[in-house]
Order: sequence, then structure tokens, then C-alpha cells
Amino acid sequence: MDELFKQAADEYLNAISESLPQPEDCPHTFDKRFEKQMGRLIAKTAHPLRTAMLRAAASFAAVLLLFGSVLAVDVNAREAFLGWVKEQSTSFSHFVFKGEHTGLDSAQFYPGWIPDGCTLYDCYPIQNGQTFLYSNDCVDVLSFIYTSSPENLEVYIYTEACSQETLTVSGYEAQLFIPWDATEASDLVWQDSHGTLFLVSGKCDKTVLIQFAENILKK
Amino acid sequence: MKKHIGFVMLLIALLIPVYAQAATPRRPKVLPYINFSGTTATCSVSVTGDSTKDTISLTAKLYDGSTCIATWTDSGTCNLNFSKTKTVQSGKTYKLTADVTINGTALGTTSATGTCP
Amino acid sequence: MLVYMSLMDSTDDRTKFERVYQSYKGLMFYTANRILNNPQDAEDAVHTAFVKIAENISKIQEAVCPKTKAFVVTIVENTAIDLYRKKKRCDTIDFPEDLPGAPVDLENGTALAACMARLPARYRQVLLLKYSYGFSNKELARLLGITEANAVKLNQRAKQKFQELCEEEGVPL
Repeated sequence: MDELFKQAADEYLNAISESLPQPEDCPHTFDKRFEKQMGRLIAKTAHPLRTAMLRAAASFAAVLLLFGSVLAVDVNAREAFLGWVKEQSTSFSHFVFKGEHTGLDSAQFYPGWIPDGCTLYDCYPIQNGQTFLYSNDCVDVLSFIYTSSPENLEVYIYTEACSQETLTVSGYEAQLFIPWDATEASDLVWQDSHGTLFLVSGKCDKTVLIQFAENILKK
Repeated sequence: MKKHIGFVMLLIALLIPVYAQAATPRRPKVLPYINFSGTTATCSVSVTGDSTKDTISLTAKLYDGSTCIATWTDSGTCNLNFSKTKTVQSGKTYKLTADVTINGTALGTTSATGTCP
Repeated sequence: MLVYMSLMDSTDDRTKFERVYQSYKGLMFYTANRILNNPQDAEDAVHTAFVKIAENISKIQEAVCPKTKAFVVTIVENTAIDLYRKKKRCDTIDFPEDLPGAPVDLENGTALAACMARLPARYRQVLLLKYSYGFSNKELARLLGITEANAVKLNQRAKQKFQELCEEEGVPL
């Protein structure tokens, strides 16, 4: 029977190949963003080690620039950033709390808005915080994690093959990590002025992540 | 002669590069954490996946300097909350490492460090 | 260094990938846009398809040939449908496997090819990838972003549906 499926598949491929237009009959000018993404993919496939090193160097430089500009501009932000600090390894960005541990927030947070089609999958405490997991019919998970500056805890986010965007959530500066592969989850990270780190992740549009983040409520 | 052939085959097998299939990476959130109560260290790792179908495997190790004093493994689906305790010594610094595999793909080592008061 | 960082290990593979990209990017955009009707989304689907092609470059023998042409179209059809589902947030589709995919227009196909063309896109993709391109269940699962168990089930359902269509059309099996 497998030979039959193979025969059918091969016959279909031959027929479809003839009925599809010729590649030269499908002209399209791709936009700059696509060309850039493909340039990176081709570079990565051609020179994986060099690309990794260049990207690590670029990420490090971007982090230095970000810290430098934020610290220079905003006193409040400086205090917040002296809380959770982002460090970079090959594949992960990880956040370590390096501020004072006194007078810190033990408030509890919960989502005030859930995207349509998502239902609560699981919810459990973590050190000085909580994790909420929501799922949809497509088994994708939207996660919300927060933790209030415990000692000896690090928060790792897998940020390889991602672009990074800086934006604002509820008045706080946030980092959005967007994978080059659009089928993977994006991560939105920020901290408030009380030393609480927030993380919202999901395979959805950034507007959904931001809306979710902006509607997080304090108990 | 047979021994020589066997040895050569082994050498060749070791020299052949392994063409691992590149897998679509998952993007877990990993939170390793080490806490002390007296001389008891509680080693915890929270792993959150992107899909309710993600299979997660964890190997956690506790180091005293360069010496591994404990190794644990655990597994779960979608998310994993691991916690084990170990008796340690006051005043020493310990490192908890967590190696996470999601759907069979290893994703690197994460760690947390703490000093037992 | 993670495996994802070295999608291809040989210079030949990298050159082959670039040739595939240059030769078929327009056709892939055409296919994706027929499903998505949105150029921006279609470009996203094409990029995702090339990531998957890079991961499975060993399945391509010749960079430019009819079999490769059909392969890249199959992959981009799959990524376009995934994006379509995501955009619709799965609330209008009960069974994602029933999505027809890009309109198929066989001019001189055999009866078996015609039955294949009538299959929902997801089923057709699975049978093509498995029986023409030699994907294992594990490789299929990785490509489609599903578990291996689901890949096995999808394959079984695809074969069953194909057999039903052949019986309907009176095509001897």
C-alpha cells in the first residue's frame, strides 16, 4: 500500500510542478525587512560561528548603549535598572536582581485581561511570585510570570535568533524579544520601581502581549 | 587483524561528524533558584514551555566549587517545577545548574548561585 | 553552540540553499499570497518556509528541478496555512486539517494525482513529505511543529482520506 501512496505522491508532484507558474513569471519586490531577515538567515547558514560571535558582540553593545542611555537620562529608571540586570550568554538573556533587597514589594499580581480563546491552563507560585499559563485551542501557551527580587534566583529567557525592541509598558521601559521565526513565542520583559520583574510570553502579535501586560493588576 | 580493523572502525566512527538535524527551537523560560534554611539548601527550577505539548527534561546539579555534590533529573509536559533539598555547609557558596531539553533539543545551561549563611 | 546555529554543515548545502532561495522566492511568495491575500503576511510565511527549508536542506537533491519546486511550494503552503490559522486565532476553523490551502489546478494529472489534489492541504503535505521526500514521522513532527504521536495520527488520517477519495472517484487501489 505504501507503494501506492508513493506513486500518487510522485504523480501529483510531477503534475503540480507543470501546472505551477515558472519562477521567472512570479516577480515580486520583497520589502527591506524581508531582505534583511533573509540576509541574516543566509549569513547564518554560510558562517554560523562568525554570525554567532557578531550577534553576541552586537547584543553586548546594544545592552551597554541601553544601560548607558537610560542611566544618563532618567533617575527613576536608574534605580529600577539597579534592580534587575540583564546579562547575556550564547543563547539566553538572563535577569539577575542586583539591587537592595530591603523594602521590596511583596504585592501579588494577576492578569486583568485575557485574549479571546484563551483559558487558564495552570497557575502556581514561584519564589516571591507566580506563574500563570493560558492556552488556546492550538495548544499554544501564553505565560505570565512575575517575581519580586528574591536572592539567588535568575530568570532565563531563550533569546537566540531574536530581534529586540524597546518599548513602554505601564510607564516602564520594556524589552520585547521577537523571534525571527514567526511561529515561535515572543517575550516581553520589564520591571517596576519596586523590584518586581514581569515576563509575558506567547505566540501572538506584539499588540496582544502589550495589551495583556498593560492590564496586569495588583491585588 | 580483527582487533586492528575494529579499532580503525571505531576511530572512523568517532571522526565522522554527526549531522544533527536542526530542530525548530522552543523558547522556554527557566528560573533556577537556590534557597537556604540553616544548612539545608533547597534547589528549585521552574521551566515554562510555549506549548501544552512541549516535553521538558531537566538535569539539575549542585556544585560546591568545582565538585558536583548532587545530580537530579526530572521531566514534565508544558511546564516543570522541580525542587530538591541537600544538606550543605554554612559559609560556602553553591551553584545550581539546570540543563533543559525541550522536545529532545538541548537548550544550554542555566544557573543560580547562593551562599549558605 | 546549539544545533540551530549550524543549520547546514557543508559548503554545498549552503550554496544549494542560496540557489533555492534565489530561484524560488517569487514562486513561494505567489503561493503564500494566494492563501493569505496579504503581501506582508505572505513574506512572513516565505521567510518561515526558508527557515524550515534550511533545516531540511538534506532532503533536496538538486537546487533547481521540478521536485524541488514542488517541495518549496509544499513547505510554504504549510507555513502560510499556519499563519492563516494564527491570524484567525483558530476561532473560525474547527478542524485545521480541513483547510484547502492554495487552489490546485492540475492540467494533465493522473487519476491518483487528481485524488491527491482533492485532499485537504495538511493531509496532502504529510503524504508528499513522507512518500516523495522521505520524511520520517519524527522529521515530519519537527517540520510541522507537532508531536511525533500526532504526526503518526495525521499520516493515518491522511492515508484514510486519500483512500476514501479514490473509492469515490472509482480509482482502483
